[in-house]
Parts: sequence; C-alpha cells; structure tokens
Amino acid sequence: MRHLSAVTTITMLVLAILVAPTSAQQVGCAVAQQDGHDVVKMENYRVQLVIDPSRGGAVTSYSDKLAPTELILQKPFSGLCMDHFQEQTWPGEFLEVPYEYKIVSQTPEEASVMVWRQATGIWRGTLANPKLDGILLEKTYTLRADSPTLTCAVKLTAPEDQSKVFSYWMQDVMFAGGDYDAATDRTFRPSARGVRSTGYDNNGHYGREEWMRDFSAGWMALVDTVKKTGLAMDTDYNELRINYANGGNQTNEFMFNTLYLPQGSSRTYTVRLTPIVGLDKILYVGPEMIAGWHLTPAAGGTGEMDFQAVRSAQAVQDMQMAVTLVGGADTSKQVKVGVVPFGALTDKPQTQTVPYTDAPADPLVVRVEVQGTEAGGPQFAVSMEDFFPGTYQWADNIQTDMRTPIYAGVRPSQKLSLEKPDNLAIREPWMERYLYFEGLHDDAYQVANAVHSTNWNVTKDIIYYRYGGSWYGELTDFPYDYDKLLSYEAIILGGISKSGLKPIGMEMLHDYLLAGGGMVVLGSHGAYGRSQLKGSALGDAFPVEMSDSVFDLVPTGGKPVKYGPDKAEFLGYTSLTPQATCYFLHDVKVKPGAQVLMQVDGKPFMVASEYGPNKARIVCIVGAPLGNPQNGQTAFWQDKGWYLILRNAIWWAGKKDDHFRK
Amino acid sequence: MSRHLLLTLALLILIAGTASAAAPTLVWSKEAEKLAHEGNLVRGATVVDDAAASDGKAVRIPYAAGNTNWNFLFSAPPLEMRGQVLFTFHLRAENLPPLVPGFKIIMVAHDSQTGQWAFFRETRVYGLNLKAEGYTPITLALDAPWVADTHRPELIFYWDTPPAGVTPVVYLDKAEISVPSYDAPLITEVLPDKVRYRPGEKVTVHTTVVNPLPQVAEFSLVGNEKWGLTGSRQIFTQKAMLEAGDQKDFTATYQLGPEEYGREIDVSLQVNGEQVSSGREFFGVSELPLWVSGANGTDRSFRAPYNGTGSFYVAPASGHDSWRGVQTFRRLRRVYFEFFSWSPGDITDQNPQEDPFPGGEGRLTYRSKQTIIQQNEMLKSVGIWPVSYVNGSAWADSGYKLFQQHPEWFLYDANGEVANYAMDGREKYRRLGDFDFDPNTYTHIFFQAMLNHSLPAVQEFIANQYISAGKDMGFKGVRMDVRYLEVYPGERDYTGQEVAKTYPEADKISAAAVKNVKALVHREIPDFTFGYNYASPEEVKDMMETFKERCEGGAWMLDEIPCTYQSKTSPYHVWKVYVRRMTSWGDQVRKWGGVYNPYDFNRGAMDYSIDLIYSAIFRIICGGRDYGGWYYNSRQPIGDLGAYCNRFSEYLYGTNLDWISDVKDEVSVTAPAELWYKDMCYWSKSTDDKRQLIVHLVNPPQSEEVMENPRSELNPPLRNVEVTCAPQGGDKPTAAYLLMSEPFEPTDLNEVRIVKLDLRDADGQVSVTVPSVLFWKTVVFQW
Repeated sequence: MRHLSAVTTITMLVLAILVAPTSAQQVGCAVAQQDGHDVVKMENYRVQLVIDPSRGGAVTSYSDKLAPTELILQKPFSGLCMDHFQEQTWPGEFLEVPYEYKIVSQTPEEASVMVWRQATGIWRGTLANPKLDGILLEKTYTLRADSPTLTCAVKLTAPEDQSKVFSYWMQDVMFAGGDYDAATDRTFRPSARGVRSTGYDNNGHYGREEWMRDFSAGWMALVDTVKKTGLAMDTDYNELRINYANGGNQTNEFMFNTLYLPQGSSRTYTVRLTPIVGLDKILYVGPEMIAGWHLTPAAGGTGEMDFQAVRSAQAVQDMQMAVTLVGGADTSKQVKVGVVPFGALTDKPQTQTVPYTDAPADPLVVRVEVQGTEAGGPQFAVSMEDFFPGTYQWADNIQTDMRTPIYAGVRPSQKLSLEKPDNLAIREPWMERYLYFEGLHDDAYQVANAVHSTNWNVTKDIIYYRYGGSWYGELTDFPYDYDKLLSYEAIILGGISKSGLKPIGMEMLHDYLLAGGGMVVLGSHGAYGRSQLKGSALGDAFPVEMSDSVFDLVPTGGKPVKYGPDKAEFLGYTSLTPQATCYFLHDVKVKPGAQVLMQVDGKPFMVASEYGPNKARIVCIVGAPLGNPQNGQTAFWQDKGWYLILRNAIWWAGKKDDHFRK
Repeated sequence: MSRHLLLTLALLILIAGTASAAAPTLVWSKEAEKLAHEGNLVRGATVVDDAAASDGKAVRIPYAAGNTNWNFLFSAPPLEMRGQVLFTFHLRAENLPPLVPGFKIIMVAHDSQTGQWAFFRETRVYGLNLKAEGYTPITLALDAPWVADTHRPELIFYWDTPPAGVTPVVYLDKAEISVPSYDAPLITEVLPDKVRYRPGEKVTVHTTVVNPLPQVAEFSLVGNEKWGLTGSRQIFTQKAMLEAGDQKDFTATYQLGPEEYGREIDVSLQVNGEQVSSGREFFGVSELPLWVSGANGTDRSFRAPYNGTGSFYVAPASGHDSWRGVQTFRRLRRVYFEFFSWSPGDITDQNPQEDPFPGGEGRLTYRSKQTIIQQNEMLKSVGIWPVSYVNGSAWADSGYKLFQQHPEWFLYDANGEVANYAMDGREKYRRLGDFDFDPNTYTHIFFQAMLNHSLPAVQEFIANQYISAGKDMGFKGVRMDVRYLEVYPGERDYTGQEVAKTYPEADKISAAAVKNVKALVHREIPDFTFGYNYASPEEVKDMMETFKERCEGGAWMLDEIPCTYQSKTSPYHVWKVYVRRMTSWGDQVRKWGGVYNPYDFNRGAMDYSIDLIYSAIFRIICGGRDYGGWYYNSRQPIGDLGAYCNRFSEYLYGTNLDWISDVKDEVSVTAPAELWYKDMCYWSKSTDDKRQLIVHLVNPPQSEEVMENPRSELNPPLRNVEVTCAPQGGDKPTAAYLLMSEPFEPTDLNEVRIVKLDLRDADGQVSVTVPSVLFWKTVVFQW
C-alpha cells in the first residue's frame, strides 16, 4: 500500500471543510413565476435549478455553485430530464408541452417535486402509436440538503385495462462549462473498449459514436475538459438500451430498453444527476463517487498514474483503489500497481498519485477495484476500467481492420426484469400468424413460398436484420408486446445475432418457447456460431449445440442432402431431387434426444426436438444457403422440393399437424 | 505587388491567335455619371465627385455586406457587332485585394428582335489588374458571331463576396465600345484530333479559319511542330481559299516522330507569303498512356455555364450532351478521365448485366450501360483515356451474390462479420425495376464486404472483372479506391485465420496480389492501366513493397492525404515544409514508375486564392498531375498551368528526372529578395542524351503558412534574378532556356513560352539573368 503525502492530506481536509454541507444549508423548494407561468425552484448547498412544468416538466435552468454558470441554453428543447419515447419521431409528444405539477414533500433535509402527463400516442394528429396511448408518465425530482445529486425518478404506468409497449428516452441537452466547444467538451461513456471520450471534433477511428451500444455501465458524463466542470448522470445499467450523445458531445441521453407493461403495472427509471468539478477525464460515475484518472508514462515501462475522486449521491467516509495495469494487446501481461487510499469524499477532488514500473507495452488497460465505506457504515465495492493507447499505432482501441477493438473488455450481462403476462401461453388467433427474422442470404430459402403455402389466409410479419458500424447488429423491429409475440404459430429465425436481438429479445423469444411456440432456425452466414446465441437460454433451447467459434461454417465439398437417419411424419410425401446439394454446414453437435431428420455426408442438416414445459417444437436447419453449384448440381435451397419441406417444418413447429396429415 | 508593374496585366484577355485586324474603331463612349440615374444605381452605388475622373465625377460602386446582386447597370445604343467587340472600362479601386474574388462585370448583347440575351460574357476585375493610383482602362472582349448583326449592349456590375473584413469600392469613370475591322482571314482555332498520342502515331490537325472579308480570300496554312527545348519541324503546308464571310475547318495529317512528351502545333496563315494570322495548340506524346496527363482547370474568372460534363456523372446523358462534355474535356486537355462511381457494384460488377442499372454503387440514379459504352468510345476518339473508378468493396447486388457463391473469398473481422449489410435494404433493392419505385427510399447500399485479395481465385476474379471492363465496357484502365488488392494484419479468412500476422507478411502477400492481377489483365489487354488511392508516405510506410509494385508501369497514384495538410495540426501547413514533402515524394513515385496525383488542400475548397495558386505550383513542380485541372484564371498573371504542363511535360514528368535532395554547388541563385529554388532542382537528360539541370524559381508565398493570407497578397515581382550553374565533370552548360506560363515581363501577357537565355561566364561557371519572377519560372541548363 502506498501512502498519502502530508501535504495532500492537509489539502483534503481543508477542502472537506470548505465544501461540506452544514446543517444551516437546508434544501430550498418554492413555486415562482417565470414568463407568466409557474416554475419550481430548487436549491441546496451545491446546486440551484428550475423545473418548468410548462416545458415538459424539464429542468430548464441548472447551475453548480462550485462552478457558477448556467449549463442550459435558454431556448426551447434545451434542458435536463426531458421525456421522449423512442417510438416517436422527435420531438414527440412530451417535449415542450405542459405538465401537471405538485410539490410532493418538503422538509429541511429533502424536497420532492412531481410533474406528470398522460401519453396519447398521437403524432401529427393521428394515433400513430396506440401502444403508447394512455401511459401515465410521472416524474419526481428529489433534492437532498446534504447531497449534490438531483434524483429524477420516471414512473410509467399502463392503464388498468390495457397492456402497453414503450421505449423511454431521457434527453439532457446542456453545455458543459456553460458554453460549447466542439473539441474540448467531451462526453465520457463506459464501454467494453474502455471509457470512450467523444466530442463533435477530435475523435478517434470510431468517430463521434453517437449511438453507443456497447456501453458497459449505466452512466455518462459531459465535461468541459478545459474548465474541468460538467454534469454526470447514472442509472440502472440493466435498463439501458443505448447511451446516446448527439453529435458526440451536444447531449447526453439514456435510451432505455423497450418494455412490455401488463395492464395496470408500472416501471420506474431512476436517473441521478451530479455536478462535476475538477475532473477532465472520467473513469467512473456512480452513486458512491465520480472518479477520474490520468496516466503519464516515462521510459521503460515506468510512469505515474493519478486518480481523482469526488463525492456523488452518497456520502463516503473512506475508500481505496486497487490498481492493475494490463496489456491491451496481451491481457496475460499484468502488473499490480498498488492500492491507493482515499479519505472521506467531498465535492472537490482528492488526487492521489501512484508510480508504476514494469508495465506491459502499450496499449494498456487500467483496472481499478474499489472498496469503500459509506457514511454510516455500509460497505461497497465497484470496478472500473479504461484503455490507454499510449504509443499504440492507431492511438485508439482498434485494430488495423479499423473495426475490431484490440482490447475488448467484459461487458456485464444485463439482468433484465421484464414485466410479463401472468399466463405465458400461446394465444389461439383465428388466423394463422407467422413471424420471420431475415438475416443475410436467408432470402434464398424461399421462406415466402413456404409460408404462402401454409394456408389460404395467413398473417405474416417480417423483421430484417442489419449489421454494421461498430460491430453490432440491429433489427428493424421486434414484437416487444407479449400479446403479439405469443400470437405467432411459429417463428422462422434467420441469421440474426445476439447483438441484434439484445438481451430483451433473447429473453422474450425464450419466453415464447416456454409458452410452447414453434421455431424454425435457418442456417446461414449469421446463424449458429456467428449468432453468438450459445450460452443464452434461447440458444441453449435449440436441439443442437452450437460452436464456440463465430467461424463455424464448414465446407462440405458439395454433397447431396438426404433424409434420415430419424424419420419425421411432417417430411412424409416430400422429396428433394438427387441433385440437391449442400456446400456449407454449421459446425454443431446434436443434443441427446434430438432427431436428425436430414443429413449431408453423415452430418446433421435438419435436426428437431421439443423444448420446455409446453413442448415447444424447434427445427434447426444446419445447412447454409451458400455455395456455387457446379454442373449437375442444384443448390438445395433452389431445389423444386425445398419450399415444401420448409413449409412442412413450419407446420410441425407451429403444431399444425393436421395440415400435413390432411 | 507594385501595381504599376502590372498595369498592362489588365489586358490579360487573350485574343485567339494573332488576329489580322486593323485597329479597332471606337463606336461609343460615355462618362459613367451620365449613364447613371435613380433606377440603375442600387445597393449603395452613387455618383460622386472624383478629382481623378476625367470630368471630375464617377460612379462609386461599394461592396455592401452580404450583397451579391447587381449594383449598377446600363445600356448602350444598338450597334453592329461581329468578331471580338471590345469594351473598355476606366476603373479605379479602393481596398480591392489583388487576387481574391473581385468585381464582376457581365457584358451582354441583346437580340434586336426579341430583346433576349443573344450572347454574353461574365468576367472579373481583380486588384492587381488596376493601377495603385488613378484610373486604369480595362479592355474586355465579347465574342460575337462572324455574321454581322445589330445588338443592344448592356453592362451589369456586381460584387463577389470579398474576404471577411474587406470592404472594397470600385469607381467607374467612363465606358467605351470599339468594334474590330478586318483586312485578312484569320485562324480562330487549331485543334489536333487527340490530346495524347503514342510516338509515331498519325496526327490530324484541324485549323478553323474565318474569312471576315467581303471577297474571296486565298491563303496558305503552314504547320510547324515543336518539342523539347529546341525541336522544330514543318509538318504541313497547304493552299486554301474561303468565300466571303465563310468559316471552314481545314485538316492536315502528319506522322509523329519517336520523341515523347509535350508538343506544340503552330499554324501560320499566310497571304502572299506574309503571316497575317496564327494559332497554336498543345498535346502530349507518350508510350505510357497516363504519363503526360496534364489538364487545365476551368477558368475561374467566370462561372462556366453547363458544358455537358454532367453527362458523365449523374445527369441524364444523351448522346449529344455526352459529345459536348467530351469536347469540354478535350479543350481542358485532359488525358486521364475517371468515370467516378458509375458501377452498381464496383469491384464485383465491372460489366453490369442489367441495362439500365442503378449507378453510383447501386444508388443515386439509373444509368444506361449502352450510353457508358458510347461515352467511352467518344472519349477515346479524342485521345482521352477512360478509366473505371473501382471501389474495392464488393457492393450491393453483385457483391451479395458473389458472397453467397463464395463466402470463402471474403475477409472477416474478429466478430466473423463482413463490413455491413441490411436485409431491409436488400428488400428495397429487389424492387428497383418497378415502375413506381422511388430510388430515394433506398438510401444505403445494402451489402458491403471486402474480398480476400490473397487468394489466387480472387485475383483471377478481379482480373476478369477488369478485362470485362476493358473488353465489354470500353474502359482503358481502372483506378482503385478504398482497397488496392492489399490485406492487413488483423483481417481474417472465412475460417477465422489471420491472413497475415505482420505487416511485412501482409506487404509481401499484397505485392504479389497486385503483380498477379496486373499480369492477368495485361495478358488480355496489354495497355490497360491501373491506378490506386493511398499513395501517401504516411499510408504506405508499412507496405512499401506493395507500393512499388503498384507504381510500376505508369499507374495513377492518388495521394489524397495532402487534402488535410492545410490543417494547423499538420507539419505541412508551413509552405517550406510542404514543398519538400511534395518534391521528395513526387520524385520517389516517379522513379518507381507511378503517375503522381497529389490532392489539393481541402480538395480545392480553400477560401484564399493564393493558397490554391501556390499549391498548384508546388504540386506541378513535384511532378504531380491534377485530374480536375490546375488552378486557372485567365484574368490573373499565373498563366495557363495546364497548357504549361502539356507543353513542357518533359521537364516535369520525364523519366530521366532526378531530384536533388540537397542542393550544394550545382546551382546558386541571386535575387533581390527571397526566392525559393533549393528543394526544386532536378538533374535530367534530354531525349538525345544531353545533360540538363532544371531549376524552378518561385517567388515565395507572402505568408509562411497556408491559410494565413486572406487578402491573397503577393510579394513584389523579383527582377533580374541571377542563376549560376557550375560545370559538371569539367563541362559547362552550353545553353539555357527559360520556361514559363506567367508573363515574361510583369507587364506582358500570360503566355506559355520558352525563351533562350544568354549565357555568361562567371568565375568558371555560367550565369543567366531571368528578367522577372512573378510566381514561378523555370530555367533549364543544357550541356
């Protein structure tokens, strides 16, 4: 363990005295008139702010007393905690519209103000989003006398008689430091690639990274790195979908997961907003602290790191950082730098420096494990991590292919807490209904012909997969509404990835299987190994075990597709021509109990089994519609008998046995 | 710049050839204040007292902030016009910078029947066109048809937006109109049938002659060819006659000699053995198709009307409009023509099977395959080398289908993925052929992946694409962008294995790929050319073997990175540093066999003309070619740099050139003020094996850095520059020549010309005197 210098300790004590709240500094909360309407002004020892019910119930003025300047441009569509739904085109129905308001509670220690409004789903005069209609949005601001943090809790409640589906979006539009600089105002967001610092200008090879999808914790901060002031916000990581920063540094916005709300139920999102002073490179934001850091290398793997910490929502009486340096290109190379102690955190930063030696070659990753004690005794532990390119040739966490990070940290799994119907069971719609997720080259499968042949009148939905940008996939849509999802007879799952489905999509599709739904899984470029569904409940429900490798397509050399060894009734009276050829198979293992219904050169091509309490039927097609037919061959997906085989598989998965038995 | 020295630069309007015209006749003259009335003076223009004006009054025309509409306009009485009608304006200015966007004049001739504009000319007057004190007569020509007709002249005066903080004012004292009179036929244009030939090829020269006389004219046309420093021969002579008022195109053919590089064709029109008119044109001769690619930019003294060139990008393309565009390119002396972003799928679709097809990588607009084939034939007919732009991405439908057939031919990232794809975009693309399909709904290319260039099968596929581009589409070459057949460490094949572990390995694989593709294509089309982006030293430092292989054989090497050098964070925003960077690297590229194409600052979008001018000069000196054409403004004394490059290509692009990285005793220069030459000296040999020393003399930029001279101020001309050359191996140069596009003397007209200089002995060395350097002149010593 390394020790604080005496000078540093004295400085800390003086600062603590200077900025520690006193009992005389009560929280203020009062209604005032502004431009002819009511606003609510809140103030404590650290911040002063205005909540304007007439302007979407947003915070329309905000100032940090340690860096007194107005952070919010005094114009419409600027402010903190502005409400929006991702389903609506900006500005949607909540920005700059009147809210109801009331002061919920007011004591010397704490004040709370609630603003609220009911959604209509109406956009430009029409009911564009019926699934939003009737949602009650209640937003409660709480400011304590002894904390710099403004807490904003947004509660969304479905009507008593209807379920709802929505994706909440909180927008914060402000200027760090009170003015805007395209390069030196920086948004900091944690990701698997380290804490990403983005501005409108001066970015690395990933650009402005406005839509950050690989965030690894529930926080972001916008900092004027010259003045070293700004605003941090944190929320529950598990609820987030995207950490968005318009223009890289013009806004900081939490985009929350799409959520199904059963009738009469509620979901509350809590966002804490904490002012920053004295930090210009953020490592961590949480209710325990806001931390910053720098690394100053010297020659031969030596150098010095400094860490700063300021208080956040909770008072912390002491904590210590255990620091490790890790090779960014070779994580097996690690050096434990030491343990850095901090005393009680205050509103002004404590800085501790620690030298290091024997560091691996650049780039480096700094890992910090923090243990501390909150005022009053509770213990806490948090982890934080960042990437330091140093002399690494691309000066960023990226490889020469300009897409892949050289270091990819562990992105914690999000723990979902979905609201679900009481009875997870497949609905029985009067008309057959199929859902098709189309990935790369799945259009070759003749899914349309197969589904068109299922019945004289069926309802079809198609969702397309896209891949690109920062190595992430996305879907054009998803049936987040359980009522809709559970109404499909069967789902045809093309080559879409875990990153496209997101945790919520994977969980809901698994719920669909638990409810007894049917699924036909297609092989293709993006399927199986490359889908990275292995290890998820959804992927593990399949009758085959997928490869750990994303490169799981194995060439067959062009072999015919044949029936067996197991027999399936639904394949009766179907046939492929002898020329039907498969050129690529996914590398899978057939699970015990699963049936291999078709094969190629002795390897599984079509595998089926039942899954879950309601005996969901799953058919996996392990061949891929890839390859170049030679003379005398027909690609299996182009064979005249193929679409009927696929049709029958869909029937079987959808438990329409009567159809193929007719 | 001392403006009195540049007084007659106001007469920079070049009158084609040496027209056989007697002195023009003044037909109209009026004091400006007498032309003014309440309705035609607006936006601050007024009549003012002015002691310098001829009768004490003038019209004052100030720039009003934010205004670019007209300030003053007036008409003259209808008059008979033909040929070149001369308008003279007596002007003086206050606070008008020398070169930046200036005072705009539109001369209009109205149709006497309809009142519409029959023809017009827009041009500009810059600060350096005017004397510092008093009024300067500015004479500008308006080309009228050769058949006389009556037209009403109208003159309109505007301002261009000046640099921030500059508020110029122009005073107009008087306006005059003169009409020419002719006493002999004259040449209006000399035009070889091509802009570039191979040595020994047959040349057809078109000479357009007009007879403005009221009787038949009999005359002789005598053609002379010039090359190098002294090469000259008569190539044709023919007797001809022309009816009164007629205009005719006379053709003559001759066989080129074996010499390469620039040619000048001079045609003399002689009556009774006396030259009464002449005209000339330049073209290039080279074995390597792209080696002598010089080109003019369009004249910046006016905004050119539509000229047909849009037919080669996204505008609707008719045959007639395409031919008009080809004629425009030809007159800009373009040798290299890059058909940008035409293909629906680039490297996987060089011969689209659909017709029409969605151009622009499957976006933007529907294009006609048959029209592109026709356009390529048009370009080739005038010696232009049509090159297919090839994005290295396997795009859209063709890339999608190829990926389905051969996933093993592609590169993958660590995630096992290709660049990007979007199946909803695929769905839209499938509907491109529907009558009611709106291309605007298809906003992103639905598929993009990169081929694994290390694979012989992929190399063969690419070669076949290029062969098809040549044989089926009529292209003569390709220029690759985004990828250049290389692989990088970190890229994976379809099994997940890295294609190359290290840069040296990647370099070796890539060089072999480039070599193999070239060989495969040249087996079928021997003169097919290659070109590539990524020709900066910064970009190729780890891939030098590949870079040399890319250069080999006269490849077009696009160095795009200089488009960022104006940035203050770049070391090259300092002019001196920039010069050495460009000349040293240009020399390397040339020696490795590449045709160097360095980009302009900010892709030419610079606020200050002076930066564009010096960038052009230094990029030419370094051996660069500019696809879009060099900076050109016929109203400024820089001259026609494109024509200069064309005529004197031997001294810019010659394969014998050898840049002197550290000039010591070879040459010294004495000038009255700072003059740059040390990073711009080359050894060379003439085509007949004579040693040459080429010394570029540059009057340096007034500011040390790019983007620091908003008024585009100039240093004064350097007068009487002494250039001294040391003997080599005991031998002294036997001759010296001065090459230029700017005026020989500051008061002369711009002219691409060569002047033999007097050699003087100087302490065992030889010296020459260069009378002046405004921007740039070149001395060539020859042994």
